[in-house]
Amino acid sequence: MITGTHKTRALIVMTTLSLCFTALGGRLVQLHVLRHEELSGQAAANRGLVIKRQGRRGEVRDCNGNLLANSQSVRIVCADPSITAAHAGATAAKLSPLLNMDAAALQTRLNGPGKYVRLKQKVDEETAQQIRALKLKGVFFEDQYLRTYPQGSLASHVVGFVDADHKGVQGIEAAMEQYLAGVAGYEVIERDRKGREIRALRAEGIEPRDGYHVVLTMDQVIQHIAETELEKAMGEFRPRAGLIIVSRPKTGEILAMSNRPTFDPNNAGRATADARRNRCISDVAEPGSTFKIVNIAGALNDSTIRLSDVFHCENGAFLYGGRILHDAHPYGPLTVEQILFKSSNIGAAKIALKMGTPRLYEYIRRFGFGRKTGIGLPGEVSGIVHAPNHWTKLSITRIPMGHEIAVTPIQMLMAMNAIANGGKLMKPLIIKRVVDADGRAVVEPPPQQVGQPISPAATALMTTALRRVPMPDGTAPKAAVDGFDAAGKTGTAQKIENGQYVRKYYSSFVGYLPSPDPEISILVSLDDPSGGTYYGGSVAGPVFRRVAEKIVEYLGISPQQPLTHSRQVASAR
Amino acid sequence: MQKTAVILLLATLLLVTIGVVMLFSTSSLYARERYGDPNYLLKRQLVWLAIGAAGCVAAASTPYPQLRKWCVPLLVLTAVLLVLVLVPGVGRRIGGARRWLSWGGFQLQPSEFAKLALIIWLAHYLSKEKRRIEKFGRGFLLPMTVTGAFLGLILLEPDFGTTALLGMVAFAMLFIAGVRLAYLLPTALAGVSAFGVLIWQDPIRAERMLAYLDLEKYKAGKGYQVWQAMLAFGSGGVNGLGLGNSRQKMFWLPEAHTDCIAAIVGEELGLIGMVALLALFLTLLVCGVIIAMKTPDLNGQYLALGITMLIALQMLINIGVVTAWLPTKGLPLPFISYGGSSLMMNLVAVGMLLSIVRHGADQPANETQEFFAQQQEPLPI
Repeated sequence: MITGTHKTRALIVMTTLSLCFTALGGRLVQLHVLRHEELSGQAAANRGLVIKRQGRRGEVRDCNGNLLANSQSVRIVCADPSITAAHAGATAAKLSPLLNMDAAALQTRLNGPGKYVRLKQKVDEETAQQIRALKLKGVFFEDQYLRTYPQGSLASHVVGFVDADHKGVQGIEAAMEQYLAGVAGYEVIERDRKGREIRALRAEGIEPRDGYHVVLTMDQVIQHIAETELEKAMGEFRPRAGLIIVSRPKTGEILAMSNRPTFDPNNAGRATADARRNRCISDVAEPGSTFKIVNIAGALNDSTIRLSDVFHCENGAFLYGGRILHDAHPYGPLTVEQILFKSSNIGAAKIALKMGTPRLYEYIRRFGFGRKTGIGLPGEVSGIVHAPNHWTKLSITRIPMGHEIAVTPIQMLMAMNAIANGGKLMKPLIIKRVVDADGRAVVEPPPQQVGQPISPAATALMTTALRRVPMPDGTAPKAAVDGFDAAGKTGTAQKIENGQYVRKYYSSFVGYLPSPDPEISILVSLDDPSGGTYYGGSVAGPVFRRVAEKIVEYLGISPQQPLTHSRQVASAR
Repeated sequence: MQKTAVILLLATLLLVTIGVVMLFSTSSLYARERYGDPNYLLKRQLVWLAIGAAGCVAAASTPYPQLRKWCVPLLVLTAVLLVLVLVPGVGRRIGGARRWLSWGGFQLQPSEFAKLALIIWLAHYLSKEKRRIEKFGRGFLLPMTVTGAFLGLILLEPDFGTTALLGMVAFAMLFIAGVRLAYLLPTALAGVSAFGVLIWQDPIRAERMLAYLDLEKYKAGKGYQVWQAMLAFGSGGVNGLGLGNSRQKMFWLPEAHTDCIAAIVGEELGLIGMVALLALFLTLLVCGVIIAMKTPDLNGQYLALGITMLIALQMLINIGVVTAWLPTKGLPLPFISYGGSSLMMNLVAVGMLLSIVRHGADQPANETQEFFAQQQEPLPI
C-alpha cells in the first residue's frame, strides 16, 4: 500500500491531472458550444463560394428576324487568392501566355487578399478549355456574355449599346433593359482546400433566367436603304448632319431611322457623344415650311378656308406688325392649294391670321407638338411650343412657316402621318414584340392612336394639295417618285446661331406614298448642306425620291402609273 | 483487482477502436490523394496494431519484476537509438527534425521507446533507492543526470513536445518517490527556463509561440493548423456532423490524421464524442491509480503511476494543443493518432499495467526486505 509522504504526493499529482481533465472538458464546451456559431460560420465561409451566373441578355432583331444585337458566350477567368497564393508564381507562368497578360502582374493578383479576383474578362471558350486542361488549383470560370452588333453601325442609334457591365446605355438597349437583361442566378458551392467543389454538398442556387428578345418594327433592308441614301446625300451635299426616318403611316411603325454622323455600337466608347445622339428624337429645330401643313390643315378642318380660296401674297413682301415678311419667290394672288405647294410664307401667315391665335395653337397641340411622341427610346425631347400668352404680335405670322417653334423630326413625321392616315395621329411604334426564350410573345404593343387632329375630309383636301408639291410647279419636282403619286412638303429652315438667324439651313422633306392610301412615309432632313443649293426641294427632295423608289420596289408596292422607260430598265435589273 | 484489469482492458479496446475508425475517416481522402489508396494509412496502422497487441499480451504475461534485470540494458539500447537517430544519413529527417529510424519500409521513433525505457528505469531505481531517496547524490543527482541526458538527446532531434512530456512525467515520478523539493524545484525551474530560452532562440518556434499567443493574427501562417483545428471543434457543435462528415479533413486541416486527429473527432462526433473520449482516458487514469494503490510492491507502484501519467499527460497536452490552449507541440494522441511506434508503445504500456495487476501481489511488500535483497544481490546501478 502507498503510505505517508509518498501517498500525499501521489495524491497531489493525480488531483492536478484530474483538474486538467476538468479544465480540458471546459475548453471543449467553450469551443463546441459557446463558440459553435462563430467557428462553424468561419469554417463555412472558408469552404463556401458563391458563383454568380449571368443570364444571357436577349437579342434585338428586326421585324424579319435579322439579328441586330447578339450576346456571345464568353468566360471570365477568376481565381481564389486564398488558394492560388501558395503557388502564384507557377500558376502565373502557365496562365500568362494563354491570357496574354504579364506574368508578374498576374502573380501579384494571384497573391492578393480575399477569395475572389477576376483575372481576365471576355475570354473565349477555346482558351477557357485550354486553361481548364491545366487543372490549376483555385482558378475557376464565370460565364459572361459579350454584346455584339452584327450589323455594325446599321440602326445603331435605335439599337443603342451597353456599358462594360452589360447594361443598356442608349437606344433599345437602355429602353428595354428590364426585358433584355434577364435575371442573374447564383450557385453556392462548398470546396475543399484545393478549390475543388464538394459535389455532395451543393446546396442552394438559383438558375439564371435569360433575357427576353426584342423584335423591332424596323426592317433591316429599309434601314439599309435609308443608310445608303443618307450616306450618298452626305457625300453630295456635305451637310453637318443628316437623318432619314421611314414609317408606316397607318400604324405609326418605324421602319428605319438613320442618323449621320453615326457610330459602331461594337465600339461605342470611341464615338463622340455627338455621333451617338439619335437626332431623330433628341434634336429640336425650327421645322420651316413643312410646318405649314399644321395651320393649313387646321384651317381646312375648321372650314375657315377652302382649297380654292384666294389670298394675295403681296408680291413677296408683306408688312405686318412693323416687320416685313418675305417669300422666297414673289407671288400675287394664290389659292390655298397653291400657297401650300408653292410654299408661300405670306399666304400661310394670312391663313393663320384668318383662323386666329387660339385655333392655331389648338392645332399645333393636336398634331402632337410640344410633347413627347412616346416612341419609347431614351433621350426623346418634347420640343418647344410657347403658349399663346407668350406669343408676340408677330408670332401668328411666323409660326405657320415653322419659326418660333422647335420640333423633333419624329414629331414632324408623326404629324404628316396623321394627314396621310385620315387624320389619325398615331404613336410611333418601334417594338413589334418582346418574346421569351421559347418564342412566346411577352409583350406585343398594338398600334395606338393618340389623337384625331383633323377630319378625314380635311386630310383628303390636304393630300390633294400636297400631291402637287413633287410636281413641276411645286417646290420639289425632284421629289417626284416615278410611277407613284407621292404627297409631301418641303422645308427650308434658317438656322439660329447665338440668337440670330444665319445663312445656314435645315433642308427637309417629309412625304408619303402612294397617295391617297399610303404605305410608307419618309422624312429626310439635312443640317446645313453646303455647295450652293439649300432648298428642301432640291436637297432633301431627291433623297426622298431615291429612298422611296427603292422601298416601294423592296416592298413590292404596285406602281399607280406605268413606269417611265429608265425606271423600267432599272426595275428590270 | 481483476475488475480493474477488465475495465482497463475494455477502455483500451474502445480507444483503439475509436482510433481505427477515426483514422479511416480522417485519412482516407488524404491517402487517396497522396498514395492513390484510401486505405493506405489504415492498413499500416492495422499492422502496427497487430504488433502492438502482441506486445501488449507479451508485456502482460511477463512478470514485471523481471524488468528490473532488463531495465539498464534497455536504457542503454534506447540511448544508442536516440544517438543514432541524430546521425545524418541514419536518422530520417522529416520537416526539419530527425525523429525517425527507417527500417524495411517501417519507421521507428526511438523517442517513443525512450519514454517507456526511462519510466521503467526510474520505477526500478527510485524503489530500489527508497532508503536514500532524500540524499542528494543517490536520491537526486543520479536519476536526474540520467533523465537529463535522455531529455537532452530528444531535445537535439529536436522534439520539444516529447521532451516536455517526458520531463514532466520524470519530475512527477521523482516528486512522488520523495525526492526533496529543495532539489527538485530549482531543477524544474532551471529546466523550464532553459526550455523557454531554447524556444525563443529558435525563430520558427518563437513564431509558433507568437502564433499561440495571438492566434487571430497568425491564423493564415504559423497558426493555420491550430486555427483550422479550432474551426473543426466549433463546427462539430454538441452532436457533431456525423461520422465521416468532417469538412475540415478535406485538406483545410492539414495532416488531420496525425497530431490533430482530435479535431476531426470533435467535428464528426461533437462534444459528446469528445467527452466520451476524455472519459475513456480518465477511466484509464483511474484504473492506473487504483492498480498503483493496490500494488504492495513499490516498483510496481511507481511503474503504474509513471505509465498512467505518461498516457494521461500526453492526451492532455495533445488536446490542449489542438484546442489552442497550449502552444503547438508535435505529440500524437495516444491510441488514436496515426503513428505505429506510438500505438505499439502505448499498448505495451497497457500490457505492463496488466502485468502489475497480475504479478504485483507476488512481490514482497516489505521495503526492508527489498533493501536487503538489494544488499544481497547487487543490481546494476
